[in-house]
Amino acid sequence: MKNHYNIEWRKEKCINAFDCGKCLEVCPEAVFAIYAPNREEGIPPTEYIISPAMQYFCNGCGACLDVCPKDAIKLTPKVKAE
Amino acid sequence: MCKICTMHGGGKKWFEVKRHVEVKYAKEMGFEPWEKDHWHYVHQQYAQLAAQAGDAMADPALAENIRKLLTDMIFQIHPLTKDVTFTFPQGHGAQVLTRQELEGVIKLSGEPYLVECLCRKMINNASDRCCIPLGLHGETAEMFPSKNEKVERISVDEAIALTRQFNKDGRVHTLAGTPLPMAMAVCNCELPFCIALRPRVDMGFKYIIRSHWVAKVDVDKCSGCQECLSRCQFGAIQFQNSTERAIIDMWKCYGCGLCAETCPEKAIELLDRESLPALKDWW
Ligand code: SF4
Ligand code: SF4
Ligand code: SF4
Ligand code: SF4
Ligand code: SF4
Repeated sequence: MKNHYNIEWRKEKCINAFDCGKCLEVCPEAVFAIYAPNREEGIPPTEYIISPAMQYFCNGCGACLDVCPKDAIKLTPKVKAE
Repeated sequence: MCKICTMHGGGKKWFEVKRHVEVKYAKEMGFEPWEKDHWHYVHQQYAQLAAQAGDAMADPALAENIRKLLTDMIFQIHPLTKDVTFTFPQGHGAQVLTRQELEGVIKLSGEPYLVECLCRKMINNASDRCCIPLGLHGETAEMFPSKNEKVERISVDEAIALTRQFNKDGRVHTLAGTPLPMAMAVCNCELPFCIALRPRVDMGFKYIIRSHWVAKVDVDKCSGCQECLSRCQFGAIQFQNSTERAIIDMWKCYGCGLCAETCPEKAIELLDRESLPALKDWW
């Protein structure tokens, strides 16, 4: 079961991703990746992005949805063309 | 010879060449900016590249093209100039190593550091001090900004003790070019959270090549205890019920040696890949 879901991470809903990070911890397929888009040397970043980088491997287990306190992740099954 | 040794080894294995772990040589070659940019940007670039690669996987022809493109990038001969700039994964090819080989590299370098694995931080929000960057790679290390981030300089003995512990824990040892031919990024990886092993094993992107070894079970010695089964991260070992023996699919084996180390009967032998006509070009 691969390539079955589209995942959307909604920035405006997510609380500080770096301090929470629960979705990262629970995903059995290592789908998410967190990064700081604007980093400057020696200064802690203020903005973090969670990218569903490996959404190709999402198995639809729903663990990230259950654990997210802010309902920031949206899972949509891909419609298969067959 | 694997392709990294062929390109960079000059008759030796690429990680046995002294200058490939030397800070002085890396600086002379102008690799310092590459190292710094690597630590600084690799998260961001991984996230973006992985998303693209994932999308490409849905289209087999596109995936194949991207695989080719990336492999060329990773294994290109690096322009040895003072202004090498970092484009992930340019020059960042890697190889699976056995514990013994890794200990050799650590000794050769003599300058191990200990840092948090940036992959596990990034993918799993876990603080896992399992990466042992050597020389300039450790000197330039900049952690993903976490509250207790710390780059530690450790002794060779400590690094070797850690390596053995990681081996016990079932971690696969890998060594990456920073960039090739420098042999300074040592990691003790775990699927699926390693951002290098994952695209290789699950998506066919050849950032990491197999080790110089292939594991084989001696059926006369194997007692069928099944100890080795859970050691293989690559799904290469199966237990055959009818004969009550372990069998290894040599095509799936990455040659990490974890199974051989754990076998109480010493029934698993690591064969030199190049002595096996069928597998000598299977990296
Ligand atoms: S549904 Fe499960 S597999 Fe998919 S992203 Fe969420 S936790 Fe990961
Ligand atoms: S679990 Fe939800 S709130 Fe927490 S980091 Fe993930 S998306 Fe953000
Ligand atoms: S080598 Fe593997 S475990 Fe280490 S930081 Fe890189 S990807 Fe992570
Ligand atoms: S079969 Fe043994 S040597 Fe080969 S990849 Fe699995 S654990 Fe490593
Ligand atoms: S650990 Fe050794 S003896 Fe036990 S099943 Fe594996 S190969 Fe056989």
